[in-house]
Amino acid sequence: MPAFIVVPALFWVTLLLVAGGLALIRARDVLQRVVALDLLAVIVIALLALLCFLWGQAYYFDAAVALALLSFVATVAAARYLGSGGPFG
Amino acid sequence: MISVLLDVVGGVLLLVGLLLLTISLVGVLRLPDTYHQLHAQGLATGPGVIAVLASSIATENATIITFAVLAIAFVALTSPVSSHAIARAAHRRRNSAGTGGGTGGGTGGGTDNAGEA
Amino acid sequence: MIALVLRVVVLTSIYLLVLTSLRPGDVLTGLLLATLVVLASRRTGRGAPSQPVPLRRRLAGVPALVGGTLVDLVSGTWQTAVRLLGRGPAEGGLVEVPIPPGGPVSAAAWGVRVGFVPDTVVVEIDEERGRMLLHVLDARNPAAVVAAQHDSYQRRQRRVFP
Repeated sequence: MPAFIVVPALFWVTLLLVAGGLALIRARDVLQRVVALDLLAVIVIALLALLCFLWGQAYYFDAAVALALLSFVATVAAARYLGSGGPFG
Repeated sequence: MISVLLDVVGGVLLLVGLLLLTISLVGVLRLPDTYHQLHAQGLATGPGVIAVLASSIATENATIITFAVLAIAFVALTSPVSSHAIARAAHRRRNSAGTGGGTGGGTGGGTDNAGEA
Repeated sequence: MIALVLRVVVLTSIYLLVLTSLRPGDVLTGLLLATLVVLASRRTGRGAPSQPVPLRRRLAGVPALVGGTLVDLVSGTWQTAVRLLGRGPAEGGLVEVPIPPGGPVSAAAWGVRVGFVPDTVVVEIDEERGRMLLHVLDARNPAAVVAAQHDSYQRRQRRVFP
């Protein structure tokens, strides 16, 4: 993919990351904070994919898949904890 | 020729994905309610990130495309589950707060501050 | 027999996707591991539920399920984006949809298929009592939401996960 598409996209995703941090700060409820954190993980996955396109290295995708797995497990554990008072309750 | 075509397709997919991520972030920032924020977040975790990952066909690198397919399948299976987990937690907290605030609501309020610190 | 071969092929392809290689040694190792897992799960009696619908008809319904879910995804994404950018969504609300009481597989298929589309969020799902609680962005007409969900079930999911 040509760099003149990927580099502005990288800039834009970095700005989105800052805006996601703003959403994390502005959240009033702990569940809204979980939502914002999940969204931040998705933005970082997109950032890793764009870095992979820019450098042509497949290793960034390893990190993206691992991050998706970690964020899924963390979100489900936090939601179960907040909903029923215990991770396995 | 085919390479230019793939570049165009990848660029369009990337544009659509970034647009969806932006709309979703605007929605999460604007909406006041957890349920409504989940709709906005579903826009990013479902179609948005899938469009960004699908634009990897423009790289014409077999390893990258294989990983992108794996990541798309994984995201498509897990994003409904995590959004359902958050929605169910919000439903239970609201119900326990509505029926006079049971112990669940009280401890939940305690963990709010702990999570923030 | 076809079901067992299908399971071996799916497990092998997942193994090869994770490894991202197609070398003969890797394919052979993947086939061996997948066969072992499938045989072991069959020996313990798990992972092989008896199906009332023959496998051939279920497989014939898979393209309709995937394609229909993609159509739902595009239209739901468009509606959600328009509603998020437009007026304030004051009319969102919870809608209870009755689902046919079946096994846990059918309920899981309902949940993933409906929750994947951004304009519906699955809040609660109960496969024994046969009800599903949805949060939709436009809850002014709950009967229309229930009718739309049942229509998409009939057209997409019923043949594969009844």
